[in-house]
Amino acid sequence: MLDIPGKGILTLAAVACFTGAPVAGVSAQKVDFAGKRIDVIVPFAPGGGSDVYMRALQPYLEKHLPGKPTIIVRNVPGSRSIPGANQFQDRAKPDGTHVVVVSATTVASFVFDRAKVKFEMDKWEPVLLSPQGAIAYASPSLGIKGPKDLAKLKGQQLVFGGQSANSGELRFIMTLHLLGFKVNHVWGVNRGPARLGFERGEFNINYDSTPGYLGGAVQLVKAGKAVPIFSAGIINEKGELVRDPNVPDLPHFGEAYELVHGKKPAGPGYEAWLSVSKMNTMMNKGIFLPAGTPKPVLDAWRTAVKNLLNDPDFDKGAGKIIEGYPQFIGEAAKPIIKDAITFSPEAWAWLKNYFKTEHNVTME
Amino acid sequence: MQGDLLQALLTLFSVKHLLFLLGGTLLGLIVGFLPGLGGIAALSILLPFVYGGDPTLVLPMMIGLLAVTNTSDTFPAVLVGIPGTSSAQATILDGHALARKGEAARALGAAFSASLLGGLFGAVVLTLSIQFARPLILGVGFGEQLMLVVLALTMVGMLTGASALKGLVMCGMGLIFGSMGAAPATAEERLSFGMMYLSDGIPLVIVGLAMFAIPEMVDVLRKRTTISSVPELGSGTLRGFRETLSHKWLVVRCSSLGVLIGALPGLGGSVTNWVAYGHAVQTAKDRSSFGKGDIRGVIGPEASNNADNGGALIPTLMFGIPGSASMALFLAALVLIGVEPGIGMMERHLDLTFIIVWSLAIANVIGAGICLVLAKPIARLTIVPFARVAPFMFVIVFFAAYQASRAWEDLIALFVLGIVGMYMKRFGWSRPAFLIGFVLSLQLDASVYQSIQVYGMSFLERRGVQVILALIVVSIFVAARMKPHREPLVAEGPHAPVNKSPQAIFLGLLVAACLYTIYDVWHLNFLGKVFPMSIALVTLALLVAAAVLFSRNRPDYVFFDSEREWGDEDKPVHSDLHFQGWILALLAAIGVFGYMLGIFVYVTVFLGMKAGSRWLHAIVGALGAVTVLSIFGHFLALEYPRGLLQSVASLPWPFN
Repeated sequence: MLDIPGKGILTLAAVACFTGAPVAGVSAQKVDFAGKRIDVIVPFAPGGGSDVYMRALQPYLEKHLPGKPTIIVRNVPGSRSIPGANQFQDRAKPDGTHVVVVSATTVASFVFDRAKVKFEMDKWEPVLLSPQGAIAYASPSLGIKGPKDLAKLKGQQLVFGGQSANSGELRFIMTLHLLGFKVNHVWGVNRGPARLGFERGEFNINYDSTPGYLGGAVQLVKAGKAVPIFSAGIINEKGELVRDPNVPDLPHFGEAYELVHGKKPAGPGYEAWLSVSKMNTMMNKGIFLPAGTPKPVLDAWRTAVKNLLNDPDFDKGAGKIIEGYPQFIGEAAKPIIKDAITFSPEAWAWLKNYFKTEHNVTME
Repeated sequence: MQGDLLQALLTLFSVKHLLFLLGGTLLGLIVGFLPGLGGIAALSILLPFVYGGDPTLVLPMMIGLLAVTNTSDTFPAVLVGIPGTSSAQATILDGHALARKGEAARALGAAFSASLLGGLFGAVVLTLSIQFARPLILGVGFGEQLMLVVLALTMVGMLTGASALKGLVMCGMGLIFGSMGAAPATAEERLSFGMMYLSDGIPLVIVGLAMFAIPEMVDVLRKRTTISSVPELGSGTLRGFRETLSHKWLVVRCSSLGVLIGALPGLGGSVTNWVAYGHAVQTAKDRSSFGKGDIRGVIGPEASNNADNGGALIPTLMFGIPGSASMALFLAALVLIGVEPGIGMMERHLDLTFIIVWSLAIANVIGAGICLVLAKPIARLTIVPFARVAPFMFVIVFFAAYQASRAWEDLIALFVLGIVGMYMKRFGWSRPAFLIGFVLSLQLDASVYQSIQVYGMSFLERRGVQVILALIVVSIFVAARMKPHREPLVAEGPHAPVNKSPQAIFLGLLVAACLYTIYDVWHLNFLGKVFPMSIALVTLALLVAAAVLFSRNRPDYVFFDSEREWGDEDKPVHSDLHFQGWILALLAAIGVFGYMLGIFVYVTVFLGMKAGSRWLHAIVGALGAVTVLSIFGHFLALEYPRGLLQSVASLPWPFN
C-alpha cells in the first residue's frame, strides 16, 4: 500500500542540498586537517538516534574533510543533552576540530529549560541539518481503514503511550489535541515499548519517527494491525507544510486537520505547532561548529558535507540514516533554526496554557 | 529449517567467518574484563565499520562481542569484589567470599562453566522459541510487567541479612534512592537538590561499585595482607567445573530465568543476576553458607546473565525492539546492514538468524574456554600482597565510575556512596537489599502508574497477572519461613548493645533521609510524589521499629558492628577513616593533576608508602598503569577526568 521510494529520493535530497547551500565555488584549500583529531561531542548515550547518526556519517566525513582527519566521537549523555551541549560551549575551539551533534531534544532543552542551559545554540554555526519526520498510525479496532476515516476518531477514547509531555513527543501530542481528540496519555514509555504496547492493544494510537516506522511499524501495517493516518509533514523552503517524501500518499498534519475540522488550520495553536514542528522535525538532527569559526573552516566543513551527500558509497551504505529528506547545509539551515527557537508571543502564550491545562506542567 | 541451521553452521566454519567471530569475542572479553566498559563501548567503536559490510561476517563479530562481556566481567567481581558491569553484582556475594577463602580458581571455574552452559542454553532457547516467542511476549502487558517487578522485589526476602527489619529498611532506602530524577508520570524532578547531575539519578554502575568495590577493598586493606586467607590457591578450576555439572538443574533453572527476563519487557538485564541469586537461595535446602562462599551462589547468577543475551535477542529480532542499551546499538547496526528485524524476520532472513544463533553459541564456548584457561593464573592475584594491587584497583574503579556519564560528579558520587557502603557493611545493613530496591525503583513506580492509567484496577483480572501474583505469594511465603543462618546472641558478640553511638548516628541519618524525601516531594503533583512518599513513610515506620529495639539495652540482631568481631590485640592497625583518607587523596590527585598524571602520582606514592615498594619499582608500576589505560583510551576513544592543571595549561597526550 505504501510505496517507499529509495534511491530517487536520495538523489532529490542531494539536489536540495545544492539549491539550498550557497557554498559551491568557495576555495577551501587553505584549511587542512591532516594528522588532526576531530572531537565530536554527542550529548547522548551510545546507541541513541543521535549517536547512530554521527557514527553513520563518521567514516564519510573522515573521507571528505581536507587532510582526512580522524574523528573521535565522545558521548556525554544525560539530562536532556544539556551537560554535553554546555561542555561544548565551554571547551570547543573555533578551529574546526570541535563539533557537536544536536538533536530535537537539545533544541527543546534550549527553548524550554533556560535555567540550566549555558550554551548559545543560536550563535553556533550550522554545518548540516537533517530533518526526520514522524508518522502516526491507529489501531483498526477504532473502526478506521485509512486517513479518510480520521473524523471517526472524534469522541472515541484514544490511549497513547509516550515519554513525557515536554519531550520530543510534543509535535505529536499537540496534533492530537489540535485535532480535538480525547486522549488518555500514559507517560514514562519510550518509543520501542510504546510500539509493543500498541501491538498488545494497550495503546490504540501511536507514532514513530521515520526510521522507526519504516524499520518496524510498517510491518504492522502490512499485517493489518495498524492503519497509518497522517505524517507530521515537513516544511519546505517557502515555509509551507508539505507531505513527507517517505510517505507521499499520506496526508500531512495540516491536511488531517482539514479532514477532521473541514477547514485549514490557523491561529496561535497552529502557529505554536509549526514552531514545535521545526524544533522536532526540521532540527531533528544536526551538526554544529562553535560560534566564531572562521569562514574558510566553515566552508571546508560545508564542502565536505556536500561531497559526502553526493558520494555514491554513502548513498549505498549509511545513506539510510537521512531517509531521503532534504538536507540543509550551512547558511541554508539558519532560517530554520531561527524559526524553531523563536515563538511569537501569541504562540508562546498558547503553548504555556496548553502545558498547564492539558498536562499540568508549568513553564517558566 | 534444519537444512538452513546446518548451512549457517557450515558458513561460520570457514576461516574468514571464524576469524571475525574470534576477533569480536576477544574484544568482548577485553572490554568485559575492564570494569566500567561493557559491550556497548566496543560496539559503538565497531559501528562505523559495519556499514555495507557482508552481514555474514559482521554479525558474528558483533554477536561474539556481546556474548562474552558477561563472561569475563566475573574476574574483577570474584577476585576483588569489583562489579565491572551491573550484571556481575550478585556474583560478588559468594564469588568474592570464596576468593577470600583461597578458592578463587574454584569460584572462577564454576562461574565460567556456568556462563558457558547458560550461554548455550540461551542460544538453544533462542533457536526453539524464535517461532513461538511472539504470543508470549505480547501476553506481557503493563499489569504483568508490574507483577514481574514485584516478584523480583520479593527476592529481597532472601537477602536481608541477620535482621529482616534492617533488610527491609535497606530495600526501602534503595527504592527511595532509585526514585531520584524525573518522575515517570509527570517528569518532575525528585531529590535532585537542584543539581543537573542528579536529574537523571545516579548511574547503577556507580552504586554497584560504591556498595561492593570500595567497602570490600578497604576491608581487605585493613584486615589482611592478601585477599586470600591462605597463601596457596586451593582447589582448582576443574573442581569448579565439576560442581557446576553436579548442580545442572540449578543451571537449567537459572538459565531459563535469564532467558525469560531478557526476553520479556519490564525487567532489565541488571535484575537478572539478583533474581537468579535469590532463586538459588530459595530453592536450596541448606542455606547456611550463602554469602560466605557457597558455590551455588556463583553458579546461579553466572548461568543467568549469559542466558540473558539469548533472551534479549528475541524482542530485538522478533519485534525490532531492543531489550537493552547494547541491543539498541546492535539493532541500529542490523538496520544499517540491510537486515530488517520485526514481523517476518524468519521468512526474510532465515540464514542470518541462524548465523546469529550459532555465533552466540560458538562465542560462548570460545569465551568461556579462554577464561577457564586464564582462571588459575589470574586468580594468583588473590595471593599477592594486596597493598601492591590496591592502588591499581582504586584507579580502575574511579576510571569505571567516570565512564558512567563522563562527569566529575561521577567520581564524587562514587566516593560519597562508597563511604556510605563501608558503614552499611560495618553496621550490617544489607547492601544487596539496597541494590535490588535501587534497580527496581523506577520500573516499580512506572509500572504501578501505567497499569492503573491503562486498566484502572481491572488489570488484576488478567490471567497473566493472577499467575504471577500466585508466584509472588509463594515467594513471600518462602521468604517468611526462612530462618536466616546467624550467630547466637551473646552479651559480648557483634550484636551486643555496646558502643551504640556510631550505629545510632547511622540510623539517624537514614531517618533524616526519609524525612528529607517527604519534604522534597511534598509540593509535587500527586502522580509525581505518591511513590517516593509512600515508600518513605513505610521505611520510616520500619526505622521507628528498629529504633525501639535499639533503645532496649539487650543483644538484638538489630545491633551489629563488625569492629566488635575481634578483640583488642588483633584489632586492625588502621581505622576506616585512614583509608577513606587514602581514597580522598586519589580524588584530590585527579582533581589537581587530571586523571593520567594524578594516577601516576597516586600509584607511585601508594606503592612507595603503603606497600613498601622501592621507589623505582613504584614508578615503573605507575607508568605501567598510565600506559595501559592510555592505550585503551586511544583505541576505544575514551575520556578521562580533567583536573585543575588541564584548565590552566595545555598538556600533551595522554595527559590532556
